[in-house]
Amino acid sequence: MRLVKIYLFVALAIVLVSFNLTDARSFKILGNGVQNSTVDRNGRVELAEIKFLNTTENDLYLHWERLENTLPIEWDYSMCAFGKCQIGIPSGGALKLISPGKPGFLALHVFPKGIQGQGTVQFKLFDPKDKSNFELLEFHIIAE
Amino acid sequence: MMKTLLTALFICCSLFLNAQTNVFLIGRTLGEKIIANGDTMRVFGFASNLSSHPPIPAPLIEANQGDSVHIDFWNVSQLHHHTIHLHGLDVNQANDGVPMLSFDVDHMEHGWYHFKAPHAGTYLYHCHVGSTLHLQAGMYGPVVIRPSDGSNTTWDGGYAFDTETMLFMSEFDTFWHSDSILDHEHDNGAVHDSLEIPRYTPDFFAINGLSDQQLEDTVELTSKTNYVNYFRLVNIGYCSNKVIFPGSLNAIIIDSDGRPLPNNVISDTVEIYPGERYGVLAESSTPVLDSIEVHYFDMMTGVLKDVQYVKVDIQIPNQVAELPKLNNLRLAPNPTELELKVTFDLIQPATIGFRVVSIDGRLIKSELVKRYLSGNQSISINTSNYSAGQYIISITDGTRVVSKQFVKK
Repeated sequence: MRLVKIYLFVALAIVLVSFNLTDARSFKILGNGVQNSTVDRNGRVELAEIKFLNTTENDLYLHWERLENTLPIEWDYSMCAFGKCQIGIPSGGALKLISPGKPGFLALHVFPKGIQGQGTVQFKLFDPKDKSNFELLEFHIIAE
Repeated sequence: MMKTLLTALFICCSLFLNAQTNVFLIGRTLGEKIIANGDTMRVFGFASNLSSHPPIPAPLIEANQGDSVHIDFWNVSQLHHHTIHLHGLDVNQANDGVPMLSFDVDHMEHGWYHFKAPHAGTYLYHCHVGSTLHLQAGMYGPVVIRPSDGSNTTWDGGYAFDTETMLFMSEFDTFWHSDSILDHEHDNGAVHDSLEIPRYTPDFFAINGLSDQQLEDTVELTSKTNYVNYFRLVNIGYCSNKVIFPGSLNAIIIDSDGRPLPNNVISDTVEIYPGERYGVLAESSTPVLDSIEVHYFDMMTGVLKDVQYVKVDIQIPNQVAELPKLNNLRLAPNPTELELKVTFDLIQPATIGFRVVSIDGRLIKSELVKRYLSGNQSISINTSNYSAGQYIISITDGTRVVSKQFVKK
């Protein structure tokens, strides 16, 4: 009986530790972290969006950083992060506080202006308190 | 056969008479503007593209009298609703942009405004949500309705003119441009949001969004003797203005708020209250090197707060080389990233100078390049250290200035 109790204790400890490990992330991507959009070159991608969820029980303060932008320079584009819409795509910024259990987003707006081409914008989304807590978000835009 | 011809003629005439003007504007709330002391100030505004900070004033909306004008307004500004109010254009209520009487436009929504271009004249547009604040934040721009034939005439059957100058007056209180003021709570559907408006103490007084040295570098009237110069005067600030023309310009006030005055008024001084527009003709038979003074008065106290100056340079035509040497100015790539190649054709040898000014009037580069021989020529400008945004390059051959806009990504 005592051995069973020890096994149970160890099993519980393992469950708790593994729960803690999986919960180390304070947010998770909703759906796919890669967004593909194809548009006619004379059209517009008014909104390509990737959402994520605050998985903690506290307000979450996230930052973002632009890692890559290969969109053709002739294109006209900008981005919105939860709480702020930027002019163009700056190198980084902060999101508005995300309430517990609520979603936030990063979004791209692209006007190819009649120019055929394609490009990728990659962002790193991270918790400034723990930079190892991050996700990569990618937008692939094709104008045909 | 005759019937077919008449039908075709009728369709052509109908198309001509009902020309269509399409306008696309984007509402922004995270714009930046460089003010005369070199500081950067947060602004709201209307932009025509996603990559550039919204210009102040906003892009000109231009149409001919009778045109069908369609404005597609896309709001890309979280937390803020906006509208486009067509000030003085006598449009119907549904298209007048007063939110409680029609609609306002939320983030990522489109709002469409349609109107028939009314009597030729000068009008303006602005956001009518939280009007006091959104106007000060920068959400305003000019509307010019030209005569039916688009000619350089004040209105159908009006005065012909040789030059046209817009003087669009406003002020900036930089305290109002702080995040704590601009990021106000929105009371859905209200004209005036339930926020406490701070005391208005403007510290920059602008013409076409520019003050002091910015203004001196950018806005001026350059004309010739006996030319008819038409001024469109607009006040969208919260001060009243007194615009004083040099006596030698023989100014005549001919129109107000988009309509001809019943009688012209011969006066060097025009008083303009917020929201008003005046049209002034000015002409001189002798050379003039002087300034137009624009006075800004506190509406509550009547105290003069500031004076700005617009340079006037009128020369005798035969003292100026009439034949331009510089033609066919081209910029590539545009938008640019590291280097802008400027090419042009010279009809005869000339010394070429150029100046780059940001869209908000900051002088970026000014250089007298060198003497060039006739033919196709080029200049390369290193733009690698330019901030992303819109710029205007002006090139002069000593007799004329040619300007073009480019975008730095």
